Amino acid sequence: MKPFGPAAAAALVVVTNLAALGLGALNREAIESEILLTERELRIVRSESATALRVNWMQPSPGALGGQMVTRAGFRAVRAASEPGAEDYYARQLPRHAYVALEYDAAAWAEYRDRLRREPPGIGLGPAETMSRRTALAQTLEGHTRLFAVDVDADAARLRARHPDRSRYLITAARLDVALSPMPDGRGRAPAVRVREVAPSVINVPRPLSEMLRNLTSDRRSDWGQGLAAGPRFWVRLRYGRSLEPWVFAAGAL
Amino acid sequence: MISRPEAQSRADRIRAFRQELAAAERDGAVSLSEAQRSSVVEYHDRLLAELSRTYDVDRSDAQHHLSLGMRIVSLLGAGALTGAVALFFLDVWGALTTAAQVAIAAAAPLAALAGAVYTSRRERTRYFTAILSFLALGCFVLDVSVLGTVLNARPSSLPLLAWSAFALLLAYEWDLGWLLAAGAVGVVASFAATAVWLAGFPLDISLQRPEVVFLPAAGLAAASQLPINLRRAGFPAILRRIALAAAFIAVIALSEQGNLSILPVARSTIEVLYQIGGFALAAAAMWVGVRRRWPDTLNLGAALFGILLLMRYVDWWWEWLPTSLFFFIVALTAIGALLVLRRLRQGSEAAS
Repeated sequence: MKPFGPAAAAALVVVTNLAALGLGALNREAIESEILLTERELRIVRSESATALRVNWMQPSPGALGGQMVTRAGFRAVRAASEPGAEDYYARQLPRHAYVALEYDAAAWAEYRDRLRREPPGIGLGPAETMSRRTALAQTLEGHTRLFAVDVDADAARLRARHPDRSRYLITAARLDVALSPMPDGRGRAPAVRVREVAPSVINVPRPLSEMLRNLTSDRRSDWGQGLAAGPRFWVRLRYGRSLEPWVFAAGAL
Repeated sequence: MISRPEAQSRADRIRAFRQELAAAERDGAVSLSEAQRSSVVEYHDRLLAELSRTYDVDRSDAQHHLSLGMRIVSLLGAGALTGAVALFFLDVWGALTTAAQVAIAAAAPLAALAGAVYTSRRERTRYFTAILSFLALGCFVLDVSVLGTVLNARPSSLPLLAWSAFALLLAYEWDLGWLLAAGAVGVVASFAATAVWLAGFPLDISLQRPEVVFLPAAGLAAASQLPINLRRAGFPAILRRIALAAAFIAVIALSEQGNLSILPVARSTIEVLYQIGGFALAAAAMWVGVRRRWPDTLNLGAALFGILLLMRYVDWWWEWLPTSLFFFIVALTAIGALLVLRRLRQGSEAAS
């Protein structure tokens, strides 16, 4: 009798590979968004031999994604922040998988940058310390990500409808949770969504682009330009497909 | 046609018969004539030779111990070989083009599978078949992981389902208990992950909502009694152990952390419900284990009962009882449990 099990197992391997590759091809058939980013937004991740890029994004403030975004993301928000037990009510809600709109080099980054610049220098600092802080601020801004989470929704199509510019807004899957957070205007606390992680957060870089990026980034540097040059060394053209799965389309030196 | 475990059981009975017959003759309880003795000896020698030739059974205690050692070594070898292949691939994969990565990752499980088919036709004991089957499963896990990384795929519970199906197909083909266990664990994990994903939660939330394992655990326990498993020695017990372990771990977690429940009930109420339910489940498992003569079920039920009781003792008395008195009470409880189990055992012997 011919062994059925191994034949079926082999067929399973073949079908799984074909299905995965087919879905990958289907994803890349339609470009959902295409955006030009730099090392500021895509930090290189090295392993023994492979190269990947970690998406470096930021939320403008803990309470920035509040209001209707909470229910749009799928969370319950029937309790007001001032009600007894509200803290626990929001903390007990489980994280959800939904979608986030990442805005690139637009209003959210401009507002954050201006906020950093407006921060007063430390009291009692001398001229030398003040100059040092200004230099540190300049280096921080030079290396800071310009990718900010500005909107969330359980429906990717609805999110894209609110942010139609595909070269400025990335729509990607994300892990979200909800909590009571300080409101941006400083008036108390309100339920707000927190983006914990985008998915995928690390993007594989194929050869020969991976070799080029490794050569460009062979010198070591610290984050935020502390003591070393913080300016980005490479650019990357990133595409997201129909299934919101990204791939590195092109890259080069800056 | 019998299975190898049935053949080994027959060989063990023959060996035990010979030893007991010799002891009975020494004690004067029985006396065989020369013709009777040689007839029985020849019959058993012929049978043992046939069983050894067809099924490679152990004919002595020394052989039995060696076989046990070989099974342990084959499992270690399987794990080490799979780890070596995976780590080697991770070391070199950055130097490969995407096409080469995908091709090698897809070919690896097929090559290991071909090796397992080859060895299955040449060995009766299937030690090398087990190693290569385990390697094939490891390579399939690596294959799907590589695809996910190369394509930057979003998280999904589908790979768990594929891996479980792969393990189960090979387990049933060659009666491999370890692969059955891996496949069963995969079934529970994929069900739990899929359930939370469809509800809108990330996959790892399945670890924070233990109740999602109850349904697949019940399914595994029921499946253990299907004919496809009953005719394979050891399979029903493996499935029962996985099912009970999954359910018991969930009950223990919920009896201590009621906030992990999906039920919209107060935490303290959840904990009390699962504490009571846990004791009832443990008692039921022990009862079923005794009635059906399933030592695995009886032992797991007793273990659950003991763990739940110890946890309650800590909750009630740890803070205010002297430590020596606390452990004395624990010891008294253990002795009480021993007496109960001995009575159950005596009852079981009387029934048989």
